[in-house]
Amino acid sequence: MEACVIGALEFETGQTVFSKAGHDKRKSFIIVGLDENAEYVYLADGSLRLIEKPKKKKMKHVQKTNEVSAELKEKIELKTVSNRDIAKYLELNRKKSKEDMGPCQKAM
Amino acid sequence: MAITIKSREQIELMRESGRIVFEALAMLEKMVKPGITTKELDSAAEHFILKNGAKPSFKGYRGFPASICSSVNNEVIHGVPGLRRLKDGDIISIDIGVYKNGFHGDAARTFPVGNVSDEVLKFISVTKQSFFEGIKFAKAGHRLYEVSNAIADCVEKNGYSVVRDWVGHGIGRNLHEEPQIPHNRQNGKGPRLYPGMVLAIEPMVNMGTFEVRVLDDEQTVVTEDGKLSAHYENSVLITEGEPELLTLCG
Repeated sequence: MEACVIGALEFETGQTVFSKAGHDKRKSFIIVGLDENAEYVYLADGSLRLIEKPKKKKMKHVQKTNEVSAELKEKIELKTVSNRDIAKYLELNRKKSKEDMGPCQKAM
Repeated sequence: MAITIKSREQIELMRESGRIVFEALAMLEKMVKPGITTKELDSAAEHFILKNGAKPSFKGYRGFPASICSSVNNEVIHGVPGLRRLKDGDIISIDIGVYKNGFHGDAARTFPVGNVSDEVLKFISVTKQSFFEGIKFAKAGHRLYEVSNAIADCVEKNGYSVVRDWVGHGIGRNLHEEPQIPHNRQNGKGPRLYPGMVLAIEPMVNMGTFEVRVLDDEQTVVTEDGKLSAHYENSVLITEGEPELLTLCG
């Protein structure tokens, strides 16, 4: 899969986010839909929260990141995204993040 | 992953990101006064960065919610801007990352708020000095840990300690690239430095113990003993001669 791009400051499909509240707190998800009133986002992780039944979550309970997958975004919009695509992408990101940390963590 | 060497064109783009970081920090330095909130500093920085056609590197990075890191007193790094009002006698470390034309710039400074004691001013000044002692070795042909050891020597000679759990990093297309840059004394030599490498060298210096912990917000790093911490960082371009500080213009 392609590397993440920097830039999203607003919620958008294909974006990696973290849950800030609820039993899924701190877990990462992909935004697979946004509601019209800009109050809720629909989240999937491809394993527990499937694309067929995404989790509806209030935006204020979700932490944005600046990682947006253009490939996932396109697939979500074309409705061709699979749970495997989402799970694989999140897993890859988790691994990358761990590697990035190394023995010490890099400060910003 | 290997350490990336930047081309002349890429370095030119990094100079532009670095310039915006430098100017944003200069603007915030003037704003740092008793009574201002860290959120106000964050908003001003974000506005400035966007106005310059760039994006804040930190916003959203690993879930960080703001454009700057504002770490007050015993906060070492990654302090989250909020409604905290700065008080006379505080110190604040501001860290800014800017992304433009595909490249990042990253720098940090610690500023005194109002009147602070001579002891604290010396502490801030030694942190800055340690950076400059370190970059005396940031030249092609030298080894990375010569930089680390020079920083550690300067800090420890003055009776302070260097944070060990958090390190500097390479910078370029990604905010965090190889290598990791420790600022405490190292065994071995570390990677050899070549022209075209860009390193974010950023000693984080504590008045007391080097030990730190992360708060429950999962972002803010604080000193274990509650004593003050200071931070000084620039994005440093390695050349054949003297290093170029991309985030310290003029």
